[in-house]
Amino acid sequence: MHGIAVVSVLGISLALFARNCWRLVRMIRLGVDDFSLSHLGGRIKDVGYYVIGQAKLLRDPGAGILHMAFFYGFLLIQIGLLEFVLSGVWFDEQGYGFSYAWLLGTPADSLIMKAYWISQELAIYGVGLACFIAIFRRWFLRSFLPRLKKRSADAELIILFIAILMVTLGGVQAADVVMGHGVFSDTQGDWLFGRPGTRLFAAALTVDSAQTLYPFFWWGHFLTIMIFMNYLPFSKHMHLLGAVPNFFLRRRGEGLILNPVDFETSEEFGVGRVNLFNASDLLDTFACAECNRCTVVCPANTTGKPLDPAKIVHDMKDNLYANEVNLLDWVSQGSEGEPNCEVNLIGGADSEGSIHFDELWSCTTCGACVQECPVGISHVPKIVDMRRHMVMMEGNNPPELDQVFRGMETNANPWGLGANTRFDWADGLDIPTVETHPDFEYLYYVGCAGSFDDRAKKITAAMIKLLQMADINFAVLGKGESCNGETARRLGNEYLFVEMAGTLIETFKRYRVDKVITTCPHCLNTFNKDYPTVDPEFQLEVHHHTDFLNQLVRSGALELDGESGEKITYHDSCYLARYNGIEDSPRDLLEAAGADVVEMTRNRDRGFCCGAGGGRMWMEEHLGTRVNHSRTQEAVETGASTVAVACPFCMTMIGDGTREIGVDDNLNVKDIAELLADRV
Amino acid sequence: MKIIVPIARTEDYNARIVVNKDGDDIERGGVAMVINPFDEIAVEEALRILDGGDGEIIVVSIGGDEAAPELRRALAMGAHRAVQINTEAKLMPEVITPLLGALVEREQPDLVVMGKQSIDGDSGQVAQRLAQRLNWPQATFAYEVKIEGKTVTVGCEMDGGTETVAFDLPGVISTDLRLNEPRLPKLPDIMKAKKKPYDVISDDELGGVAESPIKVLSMAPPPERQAGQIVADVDALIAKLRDEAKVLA
Amino acid sequence: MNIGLVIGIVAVVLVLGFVLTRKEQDEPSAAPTPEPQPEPAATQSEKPTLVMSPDEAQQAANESMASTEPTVTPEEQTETPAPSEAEAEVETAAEPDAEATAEPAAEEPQSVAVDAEDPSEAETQLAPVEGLNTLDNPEGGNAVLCLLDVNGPDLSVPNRSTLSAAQQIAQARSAELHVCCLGADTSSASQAAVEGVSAVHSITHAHLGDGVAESFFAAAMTALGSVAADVIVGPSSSAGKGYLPRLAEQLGCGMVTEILSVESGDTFTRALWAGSVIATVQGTGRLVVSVRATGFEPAVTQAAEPQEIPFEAPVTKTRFVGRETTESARPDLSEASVVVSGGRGTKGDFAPIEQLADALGAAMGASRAACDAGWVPNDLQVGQTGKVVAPSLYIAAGLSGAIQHIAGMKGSKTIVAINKDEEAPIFGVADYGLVADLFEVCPELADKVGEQGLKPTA
Repeated sequence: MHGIAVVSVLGISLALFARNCWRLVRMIRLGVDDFSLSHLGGRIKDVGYYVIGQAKLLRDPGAGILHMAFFYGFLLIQIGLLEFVLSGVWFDEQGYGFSYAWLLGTPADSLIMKAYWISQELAIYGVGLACFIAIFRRWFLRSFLPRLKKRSADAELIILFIAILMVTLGGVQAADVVMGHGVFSDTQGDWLFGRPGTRLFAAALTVDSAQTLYPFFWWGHFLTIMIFMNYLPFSKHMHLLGAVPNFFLRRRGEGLILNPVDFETSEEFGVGRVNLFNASDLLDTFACAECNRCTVVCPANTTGKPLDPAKIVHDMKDNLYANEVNLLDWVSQGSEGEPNCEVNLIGGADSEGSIHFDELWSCTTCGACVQECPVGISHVPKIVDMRRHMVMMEGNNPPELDQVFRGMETNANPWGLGANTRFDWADGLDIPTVETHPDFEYLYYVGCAGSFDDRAKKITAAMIKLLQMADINFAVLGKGESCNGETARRLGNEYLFVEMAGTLIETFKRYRVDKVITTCPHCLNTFNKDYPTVDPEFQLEVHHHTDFLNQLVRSGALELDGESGEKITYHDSCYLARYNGIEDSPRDLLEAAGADVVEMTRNRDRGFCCGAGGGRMWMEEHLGTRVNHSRTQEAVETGASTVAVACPFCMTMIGDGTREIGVDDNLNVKDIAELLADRV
Repeated sequence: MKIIVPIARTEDYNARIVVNKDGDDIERGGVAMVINPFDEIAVEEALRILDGGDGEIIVVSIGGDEAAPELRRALAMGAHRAVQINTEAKLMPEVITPLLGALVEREQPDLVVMGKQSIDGDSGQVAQRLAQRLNWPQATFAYEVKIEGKTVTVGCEMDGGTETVAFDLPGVISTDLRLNEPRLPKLPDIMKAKKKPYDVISDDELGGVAESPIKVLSMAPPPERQAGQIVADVDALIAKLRDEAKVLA
Repeated sequence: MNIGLVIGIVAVVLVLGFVLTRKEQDEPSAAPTPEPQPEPAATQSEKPTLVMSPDEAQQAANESMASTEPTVTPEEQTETPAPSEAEAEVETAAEPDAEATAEPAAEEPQSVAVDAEDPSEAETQLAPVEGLNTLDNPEGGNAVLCLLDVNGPDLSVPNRSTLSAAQQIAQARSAELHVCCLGADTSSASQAAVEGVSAVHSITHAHLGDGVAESFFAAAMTALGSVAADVIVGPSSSAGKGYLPRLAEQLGCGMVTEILSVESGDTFTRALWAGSVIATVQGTGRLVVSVRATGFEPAVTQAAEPQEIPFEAPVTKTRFVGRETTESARPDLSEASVVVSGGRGTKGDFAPIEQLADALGAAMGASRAACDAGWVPNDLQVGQTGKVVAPSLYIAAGLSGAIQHIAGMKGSKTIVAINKDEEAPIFGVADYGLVADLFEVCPELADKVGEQGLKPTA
């Protein structure tokens, strides 16, 4: 009878759960299918490293350790779950029957059983303690924890569920002990094997109370699991379901690679409706644990812009739910024409759409959100996909971008300065070009900033000096150089990007360029990551100047006389550190130049963006406070006299920052190349 | 309503213009070509006048195939039809006006909107000449255009302020800089533009052309200024202006 | 155990209930759909009506209906139109219906143009109008007619510069020089003589105060009826720019816009590509020439006794509605001998610029950025697409010196640049540069100029 009840409740709950999970799967499949199992080994490694290994969690140590307790505790308890349920099925008057000991032997005899009992003890009391700490943290330490600014009823409910689960399970085991249920009553053994927690709990129970409470404990635990399980698909706890598939099925490429656009066959570009997202982007939304690690590192968010990466992901999910019925109808009718979405994905005024324009345009694509996310969500490609729709399908972008696009189209640079003035910086200098010096080995790609921006031209000059001193066989493209289109791509104008990339690749091919040095991380990134999607057959070996110069210094081709001992702090460019993993070369160079390198708090792959990426260099900053002020202030606080940068955008933003907050007399901003050129 | 918008193909106004070695043209390398900015404003204004309603905007260029990208761009902005008038003659106002006049006869538009000047020649004659040729009213240097029925009211930039004039269609309007901000064509419109009607006719079909009586004999760079000096402070500046440049006394 | 079972079933029921009600919430029920935008047509009725009210139309018609056929032959030029004819016109025209009054007016051709304007006879080469030229040479006689659009008692600097240019052309061609002042108030014609002038004329009419190109065109044709010139010279003022091309088209001749210098009787220089290139051009046959005033020293003028040429102003198809002048105590930008301009560096606060301009008695100018930002009116813009000026002293403060701006002021005799940024391009064209904050330097300069009693020499 008991068994029948257990099995029927189990059956109904599982059926419900399966149905809800299937609903989630159907919603995900409304997206454009792009799941693949290529690089299977890599995918399995990802699951191992990020999920089992909880790799990203410890970046926030306090919460991270707590989560590991919950997670590993959860895994251990799952092992015991089968035993628990079966023990409810095979029930007799002597008590709940089933135990693993039937198969493996008693703990006294079997090492595995001993380990098992130890693991259960650790899990139950460890997780119980973690629940207590978690609630304490949420209620009393909120002011110290930026991610907990808002109380989350969902989170507290989950902690309550878990706490109930632990109490009830502990209760069952304690009652077993008190009532002497066969093997379960065994509390022999040394410290941990003797189950001290259980014994403590058991001491609080009399035989009668244990008898009365037993069904409450057992059914309490069982029903809580069933309820919790069915609550799961509707709460942030569904990250349990989504995390592993997310790491396993996602597009390869560390989350910062943008989605390709098909201009040949499709008529809609970018994402203006939720079903135009890739399915893996939709899967991301179901892996989100709403932990807000992304929110607190977002430079836009921390300076008061409406952008919140977690909200973007959440709003995508909301929009999917809101349009679920219409979209499923549309699919079942053959996917003809356009579906009628009741709630827009993107909109202007508050009620017009789930996501507001300002959120999309505030993004600097710095990738901090992607870097922090423990469940592998890639926020940036989604934002760019939505920008693509805004720019290419609706022509609805911040007005200052119109001139940027036009400038790139007409004059191959975002400032729109005359293309035939691009090589003016070389007037009077004897710079080898691909025309005058066709036997070059390295192409020094000067870039738009290095050619046109007065401040960045000094970086170019410094770089030329260093290259010449080290006797490097290099050349520049000269008048024929054109913008690589990176900005257009980040702003969503993929069409323009493909055109510009095509032009530059043609130029590279014409002059047989295969090795490139660049002083700009954005150029570096686009050559490395974006260009292979435009022309997969075109191979380019790209060096950032800090890497290249570091090699030169190490090999002795460049000698530095560095005795300055000057205090210098280094600002990690997002596109250098996070996107391309280059963190050490600049620091090595600074040390070789004799500087006393001091670090900012937010450094390396936690670096705080200067604010110029994602095309924001070209946009006005109307909302909130200025991103570059925040970063400049951080630099000031290190006490350094110079901020070293490795990117012309960072140079501009931090340089402007020092002027705008009035510290430009005390704090210089220099590129690594300039610092080296002074000390060579 | 039918609107004709003649567009000129000019150098991008950001390009550096230098005279070539022979002194008969400018250095063309690396100089991007675009729709004359004032004509682009004219296309935009025509679009705003029609505002998606009934009507046709015909963009016209004179010369040869080289202006095709500019015509296509105007089509992508929203113009309905393009006309390319082929001619070998050197494009001067005296040559352009008769061709446009003949086209207007053929097409019978209600309005001609064009830029006040093209930024290469800076002549600023064609709109007025065309109006005279057709015996039509004109409103030049427009910064604001309103049309109600058959009456057009135009705000014009004048010396020392602005002036408002009105006329009944048909007429000619020439655009000034601040009339509007031309839209950037969206990608789907660029694709659609490839299929819009595009007529190519020769100048003979419009009555032929005769050469302009004005000829460019030679071109030269502008006179160089002497290099300047940096002064240290206001007192030094005053001293220079008083004693050296003698502009203050 | 029994209790357990009961709890179990109750719990399952609760769960089911929870799940089923949650599902209903997720289904979009009465989710408000955004209303489709209202038809654009609906908003048009709210636009202010721009057609003149019948009363206004009648007024305008009355004002302009004083003329009939303008005189055509020189023998008739001293006759005024018979008053009775004029009255008859007024009566027929004085109808409340604005459209009806406009129609007859429009159809009454500017008779000077009647023959060539018939569209069905459009030719590629316009022949000069019959009956206009009374000299044997249909191309006009060897005379230069300088047409000036005037207003007020003083002859403006641009007009005097135009006179200079006309003088040079007449000398180069050994031609007679005639001057004709056109305007509502032509009192300045009494100072419009220069050395070597044959005669000074004036055409005075209220319509010429409205700046409508067709009125000026008609006046110019009338003037040509008196002076059969083969070169017509006018200033590149907004009026000039409006009607001189019409005149050229009507005469079927070439026009050279905005000459910078006179090289010979038929050869001039002018600017192309906003001044990046100076071209030497030659015109054959009859010519209309407009003059860039900054290219010529204002002529030394003498007293004159202008001959008034009678003029029947036509009812033009273009109607004057109104004018807004920017009132200013400061001199006009295109006339001033000292200009102080501000740019982006003022960050909207033009007070230092104004202070310096006042101290120097200068006109104020601005960069395109400042005008676009709305900090100053558009007619202060100096540059390729604004005004081209060439004062004796040009002070650019907080202005980086984009090429387009420089194109509008590089003809200035002395250029001073004040900018915090020593790399600003303006320093490349300045004669004197001061790397400093304009908010400190401009007031200081203004004060010291005042203290030392300095004034511009030009």
